[in-house]
Amino acid sequence: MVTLLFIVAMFVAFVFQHFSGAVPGFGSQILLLPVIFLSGAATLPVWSMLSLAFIAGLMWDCMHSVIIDGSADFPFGGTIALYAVIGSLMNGLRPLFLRGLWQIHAAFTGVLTSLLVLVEYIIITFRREPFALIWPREVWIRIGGSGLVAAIMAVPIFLFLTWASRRAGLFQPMRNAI
Amino acid sequence: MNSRHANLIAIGAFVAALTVVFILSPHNRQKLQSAFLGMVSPFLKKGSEVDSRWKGYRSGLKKIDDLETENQRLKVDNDQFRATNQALRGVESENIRLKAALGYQDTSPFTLVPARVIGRSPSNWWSTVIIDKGSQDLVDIGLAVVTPDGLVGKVISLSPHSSSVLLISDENCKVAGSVESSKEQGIVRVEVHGQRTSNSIQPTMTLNFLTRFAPLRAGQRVLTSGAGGIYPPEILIGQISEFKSRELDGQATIEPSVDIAALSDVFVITGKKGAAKAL
Repeated sequence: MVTLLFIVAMFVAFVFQHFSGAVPGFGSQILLLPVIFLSGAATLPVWSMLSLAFIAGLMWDCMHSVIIDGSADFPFGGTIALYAVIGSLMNGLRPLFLRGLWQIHAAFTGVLTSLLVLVEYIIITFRREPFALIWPREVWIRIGGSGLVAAIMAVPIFLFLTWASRRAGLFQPMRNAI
Repeated sequence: MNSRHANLIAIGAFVAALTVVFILSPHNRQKLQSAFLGMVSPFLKKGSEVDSRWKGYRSGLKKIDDLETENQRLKVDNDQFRATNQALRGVESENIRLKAALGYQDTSPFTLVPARVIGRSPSNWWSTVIIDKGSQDLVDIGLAVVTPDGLVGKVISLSPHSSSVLLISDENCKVAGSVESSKEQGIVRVEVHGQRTSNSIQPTMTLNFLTRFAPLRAGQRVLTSGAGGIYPPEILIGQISEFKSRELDGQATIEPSVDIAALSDVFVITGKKGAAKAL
């Protein structure tokens, strides 16, 4: 049931981020989908996290994979694998969430969102013609900016999840959680 | 079954599903994309309506603020009347914009399908928009998309009632261009040396492979040449802002004529006027 709620929330976030645009003056996109996915990855078991990774990645690739003359500069399905990797990293910190330490996850959401954007950038850098390995300030602003915005957005989400988990009696004593 | 076994089964199922996605044929991939676009587009349309209402409300608020300042300065006591007047001005400006678009549709040599942008890619590295017209409206993959100001991009995927448009600000979009009143032709693409573009930024573009010492000057217009067959000829791309000679060829920097960051109404070129009559 909770997994289903996360899937619905991810879909809503996916639609919403088509209108959220970028941070004015910085150009960093406001990425809500990874935030919802990572909050799910921090709170749900492995099988649920993988389901969310598959759906989130597939949604993204279906909508944004640019295929010109049969070839894409980012492999179709690649985003699914990327989401699975960052989701696994977040899921590894799940025991800390079960202890109520949401701050770590909010910060880590920002780091992982930046990682997602960074890996995308590296892959397209190697696949696009002409090859141009460029790392100007603007690229770092976009990578870091998306992560920073994600971390800020993650705070109320994790606060809510912490409250909901406490109400549902999901939190464990420290020695059981680790 | 303990949780370790359950996790292993979940990972196995995930890898199998991922493999299926990776080995999808281009045809099936396109079908999947089309189906998903069709599923999402009603939500995007609704979202777009809410978004424009919200923007209208916000700009309305700004206008009311302006009016209050003006009222204080002029000491006129008819706030409500002025607010109404201002709102009507907003409608009038929209009316003028739509009339201009309609005028373009009438005067353009092409058969145009008007469309509205209902979503923008939230990606940092790709520039695409979603429009509210699809295969049911005679839109097809590869068709050029324009505004009265010039070239916008081309359709790359479609569903019955919506399409995805690759913008000229995306590095994957290359356009054969020519310089007006000159024989110079080349390939227009986004300048990547500096920064990769996204929807939020007006790109800098270059016209490459020109004659090394071509007599080009700032302000000359760059149009599509029609070579390659995707974009019809004589569509404005932008204006030259700078020309430089390189080791083997010349390169012109172009200011795009279309404001990519503020796209709202566009047209899909589905054919040329008179072509049907000729047939």
